[in-house]
Amino acid sequence: MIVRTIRVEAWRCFVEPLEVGPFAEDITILHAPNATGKSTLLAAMRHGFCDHHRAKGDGVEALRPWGRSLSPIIRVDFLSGGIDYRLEKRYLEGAFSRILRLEGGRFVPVAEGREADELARTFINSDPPGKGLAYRPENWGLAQVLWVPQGRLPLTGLSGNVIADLQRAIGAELAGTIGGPIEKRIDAAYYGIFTPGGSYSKGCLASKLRAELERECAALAAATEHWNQFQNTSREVEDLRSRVEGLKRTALDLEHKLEAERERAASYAALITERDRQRDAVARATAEYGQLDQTIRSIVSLREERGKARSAIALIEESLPRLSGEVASLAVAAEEKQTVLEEAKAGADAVRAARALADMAGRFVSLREKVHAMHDRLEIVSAVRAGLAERRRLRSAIIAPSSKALAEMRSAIAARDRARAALEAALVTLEIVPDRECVADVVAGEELGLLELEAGRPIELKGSPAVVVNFPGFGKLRARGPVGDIEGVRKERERAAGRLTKATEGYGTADLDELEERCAEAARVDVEISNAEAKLSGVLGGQAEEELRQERARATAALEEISAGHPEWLAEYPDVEALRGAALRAEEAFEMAVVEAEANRDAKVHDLNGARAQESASRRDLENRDRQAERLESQLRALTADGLSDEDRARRLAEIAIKQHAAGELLRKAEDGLARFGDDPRVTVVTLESQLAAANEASRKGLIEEKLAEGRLKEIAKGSPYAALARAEESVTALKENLAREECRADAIRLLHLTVSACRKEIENAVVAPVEQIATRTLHRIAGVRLGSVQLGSGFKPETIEPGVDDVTGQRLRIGVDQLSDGESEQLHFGVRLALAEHLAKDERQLVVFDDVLLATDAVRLARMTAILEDYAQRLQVVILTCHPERYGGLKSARFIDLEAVLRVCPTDAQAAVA
Amino acid sequence: MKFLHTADWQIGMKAAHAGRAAQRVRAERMAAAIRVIEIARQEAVDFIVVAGDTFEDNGVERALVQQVGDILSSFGRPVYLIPGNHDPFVPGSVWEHPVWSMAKSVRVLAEEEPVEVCGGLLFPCPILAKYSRKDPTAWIRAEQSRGICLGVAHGTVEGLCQEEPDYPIPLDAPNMRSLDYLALGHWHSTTGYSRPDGSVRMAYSGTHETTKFGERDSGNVLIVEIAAPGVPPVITQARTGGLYWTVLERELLDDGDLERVVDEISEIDTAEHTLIDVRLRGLITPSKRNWLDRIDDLLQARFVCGRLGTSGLRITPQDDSWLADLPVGPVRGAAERLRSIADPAGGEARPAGVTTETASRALLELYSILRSDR
Repeated sequence: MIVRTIRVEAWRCFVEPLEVGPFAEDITILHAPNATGKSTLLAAMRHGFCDHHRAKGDGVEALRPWGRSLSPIIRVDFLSGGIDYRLEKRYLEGAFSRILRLEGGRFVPVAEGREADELARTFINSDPPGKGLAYRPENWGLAQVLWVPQGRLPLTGLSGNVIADLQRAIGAELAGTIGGPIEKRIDAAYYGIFTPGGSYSKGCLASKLRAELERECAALAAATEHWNQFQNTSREVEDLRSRVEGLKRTALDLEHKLEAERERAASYAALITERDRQRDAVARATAEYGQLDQTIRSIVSLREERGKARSAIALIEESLPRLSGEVASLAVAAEEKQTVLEEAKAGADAVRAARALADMAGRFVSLREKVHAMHDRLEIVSAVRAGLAERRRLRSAIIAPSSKALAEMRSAIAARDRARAALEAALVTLEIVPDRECVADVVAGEELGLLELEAGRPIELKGSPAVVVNFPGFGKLRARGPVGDIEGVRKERERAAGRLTKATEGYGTADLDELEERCAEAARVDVEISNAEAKLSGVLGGQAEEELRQERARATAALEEISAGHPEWLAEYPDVEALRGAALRAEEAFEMAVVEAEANRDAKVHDLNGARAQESASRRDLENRDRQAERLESQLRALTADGLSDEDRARRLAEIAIKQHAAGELLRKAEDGLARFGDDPRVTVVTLESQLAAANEASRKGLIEEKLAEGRLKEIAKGSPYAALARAEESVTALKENLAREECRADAIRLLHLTVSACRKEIENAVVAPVEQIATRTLHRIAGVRLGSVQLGSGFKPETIEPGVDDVTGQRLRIGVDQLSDGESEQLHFGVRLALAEHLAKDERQLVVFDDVLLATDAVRLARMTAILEDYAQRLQVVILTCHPERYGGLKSARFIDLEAVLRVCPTDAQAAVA
Repeated sequence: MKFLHTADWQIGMKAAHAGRAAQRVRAERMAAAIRVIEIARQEAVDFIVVAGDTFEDNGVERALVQQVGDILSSFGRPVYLIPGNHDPFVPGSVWEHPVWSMAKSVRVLAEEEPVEVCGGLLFPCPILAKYSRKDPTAWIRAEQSRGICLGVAHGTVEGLCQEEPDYPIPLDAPNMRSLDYLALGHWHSTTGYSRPDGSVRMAYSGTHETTKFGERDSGNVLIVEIAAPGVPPVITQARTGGLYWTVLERELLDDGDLERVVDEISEIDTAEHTLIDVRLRGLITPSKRNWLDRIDDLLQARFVCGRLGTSGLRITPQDDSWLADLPVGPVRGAAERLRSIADPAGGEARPAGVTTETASRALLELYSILRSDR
């Protein structure tokens, strides 16, 4: 099919009727700037051949011109099978579809409405959707290959019908006429179950069954768990019953044991009582025996001691007179030695006098030196005080401002100067330098009145805002200046002058330099006063002068007192050291004499005391012996107060011994009886009672647990766990069977689909080879042999190129087309499109449209491509839509249509626009 | 002494193998129980002995327990039951249901103690746990007993094929235990154990209603009559089952066989009481595929439960008439390849995981697609 003319009306940007054509049978370049409507024309033609005229929806609405409610119309005149046809379609309001055929020079209707739609599609073998527009390329039929919209040069895979057409065209004839529909049904059956990835689709029966099976399996697991719980609880109850029975038996055994043990405990307790009683009897007899035995022994012993005491008394009484004589003679000797000692001590006064003389001489010397030193310090103090008084007098005579007052003065002077300068600046100054003497009358200015001017003597007049001077006979001279607040400035100056006067009054002068000198002199005198005060303080050492004078007076008085007793020391200083040596020697001699006398006296006194002590000891010993003898006598009387004789006591002692032995025997028997019991049966009774209580408690608790478990068991049994399990298991089994059946069917359909796909692939491969060869040849013409051969994939989609070299593994290297540059990718797809178009045009010339697709190709290769297009134009009708017609200038035989020019001229006179 | 011996009612049994008829199968077991009572009345037996497994499990619905209790009570004369390995006498068992204490004529014998029955003594061997290797009859001491001595036990008689025989019972147990008759339960087929003298003194009554496909001689009870101690019992078998479990295995050798199978199935006049499992093998031509659908329709429409097994069917390798009608291209190529895969003797290499059965089914699916196209 080739196209003659295209006419559109009310179609997007074309509101008015526009007819483009006639197109050349070989090459036509339809050119216009961007947004003129080239692509719209291609799209309109595609709509015309593919879409139902009654199509509705937003897509069809979008075909109207913007903001208008016109119905889009398309008319295409074309040649197919050697016959000229006309396709006319109108969309939306007043929609119609019509195919006409040129017969006898005029177009005669062939089909209308739906039939016309169907017939139109057969020209490009399109397969549009049931509703809406055929937007998707897979619905475009041959146009998928032949009509290339902007930006869609790469092939993305062809639909089944086009592949079949290509197969037929290539001559493979491997797929029969009904093969396509059967394959579709096989695909439909497959994709009704599986996803393109080969897994089960969510909506298929197998998936639903699996989901249901999962749910039922979960229910089965829950039911199984419930049933197991029932079984386990039953076992638990059984175990608890067994345990409770065991505990009851244990309790019964314990009761029996306890009864027997209690009887033994009673016997044991009786023996304990007997043992304790006999133990008391033995203890009592033992005590009584011991007491009597002790009495007898004591009597014997006392009698012996009493005899010894009487012998000692006799000996002491015999030695006492001799000891008294020794004491008397020793007392006389000690008295004599005491007298000698007192005589030696009488030399102490002389020693004290010598020591006092030496001390007084030392004090005399010390006082003399002290008096002299204090006198010197008081002299210095007097001198410093005199100097200080003089400087203070000088300082009081200096009238100087303080540094703060000085700063205030400086501030006032600065303010006054600033105000004065401001005043100067605010005043108009008129300087007159007369050549000769004359008189001037100042009528405006600071100072008014007549002025006499001398020749050559300049004079300045000031005023504000002007200075006006009349020169009689000459005229009036007026000088104006800046206008300011002259009074304000004056007040400021007065305030500053007042501040200065106030600051300097009292100093006798306002001369700042003099005042600063005074201030410096006052500071110097202040330093001298400060230094003198520091010196005075250092000499006094923290004392007051008066204190120092009093201290000197006291020292002088003490000195005079000493010299009154020793006037010779006034003439000559005493030798203190000599005096002290003499005193020391006298003291040492005195001390030696006293020590010797004391030692003699002490020796005698010691002897005397020894004799006296011996005498006293003998007397005390005598007294003690007397008291001892008396006490022993008393004790003997007490022990023998029972009135018994020694023989009676001996007899009584023997009786008690017999009684003690008898009680001991009974005690041993009781203890033997207890020993035969081993452990205390009363302890065992307590233990058994505790065990019995524990067993009863455990039994009670076990019974409660048993009842609780029974309750749980009944509750579970009420839920019929097995019935639920049975239902769940039946459901799961049924689902498994259904699933297995469905999966078996699915496996069969998968195998069928895969086998058909494999066969289709093999056939496609056989068909693809000729296309690959032509595409490769075209690519070589454009880009040279560097890129090697082209390989197509499923649906004739270019996949790889094979440059003819091996990779590192020794395999032929294949490169994905996505790795090519934009230009080479464009050239590859161009070649593949043309190869496919050549096959499709085997029976009839076909229209090929390229809508601004060769954009990335350089000028050299584009020239080659245009040459290729010229070749193909012998078998194809090539229409190129472009905004760069100059790029196709090399196509000498091409027909160029300027769409913009067509739009400018009468729409129906488009031929005028053809270059 | 005349009594009815039954066992293995398995009330509440799960019947996953019966598919959608599971509930019907359960209901039939209850109906069969009623028929047992009817036969007992007709035969005017003195009492009924149920030799265990009255219930499928202790966790069955309590309403079923009540129903069974009511059915047994309706007999009006003594009924003696022992717990079996499916419903052992354990805590929470069906035997704790109040119906057993309220039904005066029905006695659950849960202890190994002889019970006086009409004309003799009954030695019960109750089951107290699901599994045991102990002979349940070992406790019986009937040597000194007067009158007819019966035993009722639940277990596996020595010689029956079982990996781990639970509750084993000696083959000469009646002789060892001095019993005139030992009523057994556990195995579902009716089986009597003949002594050398031809007398039968130990038997499995079998289940009163068949439980599954392939279960031999089940759906019966035994009427046992013993004239006097030591006299061989007279045993009569009575049918109580309501359902028929039929297995139909056929090999298809030619095109007519499938039609004949359809005729055979159509002629079954007890279809409304029959569960049927049809298993086909052999060769089939795709053109006969609709006959399989016909069989399936018959099974689903007429029978209580129908299963159709076709995994043994293969496509006839010689049948290529329909392949010639396929359009030249991938479809015909695929069909020829699948036919070769489906042929066990075919030379086509089978893809991994693909069986001849799958290939056959794929061809049948293709045939269905072609047929639906027309």
